[in-house]
Amino acid sequence: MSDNELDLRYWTGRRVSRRRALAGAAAAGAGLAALGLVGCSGGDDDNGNGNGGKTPEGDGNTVNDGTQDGPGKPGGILRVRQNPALPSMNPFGPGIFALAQGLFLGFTVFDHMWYVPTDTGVRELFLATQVEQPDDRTVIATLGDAVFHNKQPANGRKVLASDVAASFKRFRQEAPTGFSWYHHVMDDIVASDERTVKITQKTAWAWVFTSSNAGSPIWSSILPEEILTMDDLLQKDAVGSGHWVLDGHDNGANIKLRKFDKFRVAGQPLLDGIDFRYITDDNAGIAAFRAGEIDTTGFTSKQQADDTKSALGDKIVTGSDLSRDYLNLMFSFQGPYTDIRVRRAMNKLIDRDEAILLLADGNAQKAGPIPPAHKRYALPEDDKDLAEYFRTDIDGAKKLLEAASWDFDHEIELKHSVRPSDSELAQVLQQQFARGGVKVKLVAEDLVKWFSQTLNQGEFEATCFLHLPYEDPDLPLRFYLSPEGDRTNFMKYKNEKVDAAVLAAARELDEEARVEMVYEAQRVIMAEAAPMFNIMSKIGYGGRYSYVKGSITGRGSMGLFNRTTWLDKA
Amino acid sequence: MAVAERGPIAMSEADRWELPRNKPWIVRMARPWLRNPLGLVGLAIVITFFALGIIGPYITPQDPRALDAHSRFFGPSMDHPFGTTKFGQDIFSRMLYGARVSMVFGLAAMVVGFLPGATLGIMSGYFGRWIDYAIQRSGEAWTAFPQLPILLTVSAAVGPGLKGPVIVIAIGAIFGGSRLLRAVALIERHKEYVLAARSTGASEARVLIFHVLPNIMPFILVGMSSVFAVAILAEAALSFLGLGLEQGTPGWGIDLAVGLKDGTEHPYLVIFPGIVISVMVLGFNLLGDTLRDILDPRLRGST
Amino acid sequence: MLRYTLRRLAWLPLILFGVSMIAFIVLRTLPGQDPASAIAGQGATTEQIDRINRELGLKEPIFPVSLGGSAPFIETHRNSQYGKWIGELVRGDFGRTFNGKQPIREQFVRKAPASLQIVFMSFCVSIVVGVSFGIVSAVYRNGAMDYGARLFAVLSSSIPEFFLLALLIIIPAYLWNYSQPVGGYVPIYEDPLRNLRLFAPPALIIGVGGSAGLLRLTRTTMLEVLRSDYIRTANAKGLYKSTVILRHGLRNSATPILTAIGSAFVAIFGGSIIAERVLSIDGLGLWFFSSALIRDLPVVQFLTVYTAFVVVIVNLIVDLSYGWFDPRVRYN
Repeated sequence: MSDNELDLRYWTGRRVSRRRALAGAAAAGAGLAALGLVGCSGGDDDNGNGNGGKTPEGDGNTVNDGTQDGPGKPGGILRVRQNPALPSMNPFGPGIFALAQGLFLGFTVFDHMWYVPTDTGVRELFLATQVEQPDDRTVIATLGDAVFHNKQPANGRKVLASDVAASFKRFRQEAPTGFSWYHHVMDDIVASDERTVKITQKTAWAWVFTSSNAGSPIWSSILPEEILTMDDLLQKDAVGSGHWVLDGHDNGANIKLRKFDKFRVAGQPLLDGIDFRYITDDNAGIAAFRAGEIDTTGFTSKQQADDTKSALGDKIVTGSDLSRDYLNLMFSFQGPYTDIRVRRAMNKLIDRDEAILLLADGNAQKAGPIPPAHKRYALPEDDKDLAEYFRTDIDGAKKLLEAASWDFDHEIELKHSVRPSDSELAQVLQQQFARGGVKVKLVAEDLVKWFSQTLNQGEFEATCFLHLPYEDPDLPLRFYLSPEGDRTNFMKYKNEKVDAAVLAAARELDEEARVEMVYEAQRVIMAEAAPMFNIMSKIGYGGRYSYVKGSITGRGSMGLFNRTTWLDKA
Repeated sequence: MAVAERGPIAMSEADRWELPRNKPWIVRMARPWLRNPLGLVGLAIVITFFALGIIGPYITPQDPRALDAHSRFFGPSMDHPFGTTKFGQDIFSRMLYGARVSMVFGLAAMVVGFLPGATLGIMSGYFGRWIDYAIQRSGEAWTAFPQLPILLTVSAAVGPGLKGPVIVIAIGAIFGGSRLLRAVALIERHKEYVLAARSTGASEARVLIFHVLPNIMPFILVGMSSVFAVAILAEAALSFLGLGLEQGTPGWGIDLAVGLKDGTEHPYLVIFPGIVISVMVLGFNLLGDTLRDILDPRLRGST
Repeated sequence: MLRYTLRRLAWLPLILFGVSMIAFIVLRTLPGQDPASAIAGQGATTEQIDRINRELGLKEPIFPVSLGGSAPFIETHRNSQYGKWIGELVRGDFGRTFNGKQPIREQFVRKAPASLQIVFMSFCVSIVVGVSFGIVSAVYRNGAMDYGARLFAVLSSSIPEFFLLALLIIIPAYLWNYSQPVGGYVPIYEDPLRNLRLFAPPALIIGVGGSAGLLRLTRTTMLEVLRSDYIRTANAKGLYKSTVILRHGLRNSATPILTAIGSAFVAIFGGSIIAERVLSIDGLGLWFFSSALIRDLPVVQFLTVYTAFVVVIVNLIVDLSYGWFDPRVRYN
């Protein structure tokens, strides 16, 4: 398989197993860390498995077999773990809590016009059968034939262009404003007739179809127009035209999905349904998998994957995939940090190799401005500038700090949430900075406070955390854009060169040219030592019983739209 | 409310507190200890606990905080009796160091909670009246309510660290201490030696401090040992739930909680901290039980 | 007796009133409480936060009456948070969660059975183990059984429940690839085996952990009773030893034991939170825990008052049963 070759780059020399599994979920284009917040309601969301999205399907049907399994057999119910419970079934709100339900339902119950998988970066059409861009600001999509689930209030009626337009508009009201395509780029969306949708944009935007834009698994979901105002119904039930029908749930836990017989692709999905089991504790999840209570699982480490494999042998298949989430360290753009020498020094103090050993047992890859899972857009590993950016240089850092008359008695206040991923990183950074004589004081905060005040209001000197797994290179770049109007960035970082490079890439419609411009934007970000230093992306591990076949992996969240998983059981 | 006022447990125990009074209490108490090996074990554990709490951080064989990428997940061995953590830290060293956290937590709860509570209890038992009534009622209300939900709510609101928990534990200790000592003082004030001391013209304060206090000291010790046991358990339980200490601080509960993440692969990460916590709590419980037995001579095994 | 019961019950609303007020104060005034911006999420504008604050009424005064303003320095507020909440509660409306706007009553009704079962089972284990071991320990005073029982008591109150519960998950999976049916909840009448596989082990752990105090107290009280004149008389009459112990001994030591049973219940109630957390049991304890973490104030509030309610009722039952065991007790 050719994508094995592609993947070799990400395997840090390890032997590539033909059968790989994606442990991580997709939290494409979702607002930062918000899901962690929801996912963490259990208190211990260890994202070591790249499971940052924590959509219930995160531990779900994402194991790939390629095609060697032969033709799939219809039928059967897949049992997977669910964590967390969805607060409600309303994809619109309130606020960040909508992300959990929006993501889950967006991948299952709701249909979309298109989706852009991470691996290729090439748009795949879903409900839309044809897409035209008559000019660089207009998108005209023609819809195929599809019907809604046979439930109140849609009762199996046809999906119309007006449903698409109305859903987009409703999501625009609810989407966070930080910076989003819905607020800052999209001008209007109208249904010209039953089958045609026309999107107009305020500016040319090359990323329009990707997942943090109009291809969001959340905000591009298509709901029947009449349900959009029925808040009570939305909270209890979800009605879409996606491949799964929401069959039942216990207040958002133990969700049952059943096959939608009239899905627009005949014969799919192959499974009769998916049953989610609400298991909040990771150890309990692994125990349940070992005992055969659930069919698939994510692992928290390679060791866990290996141990489980040796305990269960051929009964299970394990595999791995590079996560799209990534750890980073951020400084607030004020005081000494407005001095580029200080910022450069801080980056030189980070020992990414050691961090990878300590935090991921060596199973991770260093992350530049765009994390390595975005194969097309991340700078290649052998890139000169990237290598320089990654180089640890304690003496060099000391010299820079001295030149910038850094106060070595000053204790940097590094705030972090109590999530294991974040507080572990903080400990590693503290030790690494001490080597350069830079004192760091760790300040642990509970997740709600850290997220809503520290990060969102920018009330920090330094903070470090695990980003969500974004699906496209657009969002990771956007974090560096200067604040303007209601557009913000966490660091309050302002740099015109960075803005120009990032926006130039976003407005370049030609793909080949855009890849180069994205490279260039990353080089500018690194040269300017923009105060968000990405550190690494971990490799996630997953497993499944051998009878689960035909899943898709290595394609980002595309795997979650998978409809060809089947069970090879008698 | 006749039923509630009977206070059957504390009263009856206090009633039995009759030992010869011609020697200091510490001498009087020494003999029964020798007959009670479990009590001695408890005492030894408790002494170890305080010793570690004071000197623990200075005698760790390895730096309990330093991260070492090359000694991760070593199982128990001669070099690392309890193994090493995910960050290559020596768990044995961390356990030695961690005693400090629990001791300070327990001391804080004692100073802020138990001692004021005990004072209040003695005063109210000794002087009675409305203050007695008020303390009784509020104490009943507090003890009737499960502590864990309160701990959880306050800790979640106050954020990481032990500030929140210490407040809750201290409030609990105020009520616990006042209840226990009130019952004791209630009995004590009618005893002959008190009447005798009073009849010599000693002031109430003098009687209280020089006569009553030495006699109720063992009860104060019983109370204190349970405060420490509760403090150790509370720190551990909260850290276990992700609400106590910050990760990275060497503490028993937090180390157990962090170890649990890799517990399925490396059970020793969970087992050793768990055993340390259990042994320490056991020590305080044994000590408390033995004190109680000694205070209650009729139930002592040999009589 | 009836009058006593009624009078105690009359106190109930007052106690709940007090508990709910305290819960309100703690939840709404402690630092770090900003549910609106937590809900609003990344990059939310002040207007969005204001809107959430308005929707949830979080900027209204907490209590209907407050000090301040001009003479008489007492202000009344029509839309106070507490006033609204208690008004709805009285009408049987438990409110809605912040996080998802789900009716609390519906979730409560669904989650309660799992929690009740674990509390009830642990409670039974506690009583059976505590009382029976206590009696045995007293009857065979200073024998091997006595020491065994006492050692057992002190051990079970020293080993933290969460430690044992964690081992309960890790060890069987590690050794035998066995797991309890974690997650989900099957009512006992639907699949008794599956239900008990999930609930019996934690009930045993929590129950035994909560039995220590009861055991110690039963032993002490029994020792005292066994030494009394009427037991000697009963023995002299030639009654069976078991009859003497159970009919005369236990009955006469009932009062302190009942008190201890009351406090054992309270301890178990707390312990069930940890069990639900570790075993992923979707009950009230887990709900309370996760809601406290994300500041879902209505849930925490409601569950606090509910817990107080249960505890008060259990204490009342304990108090009333004194009379049943011990006719000397008069309620007045």
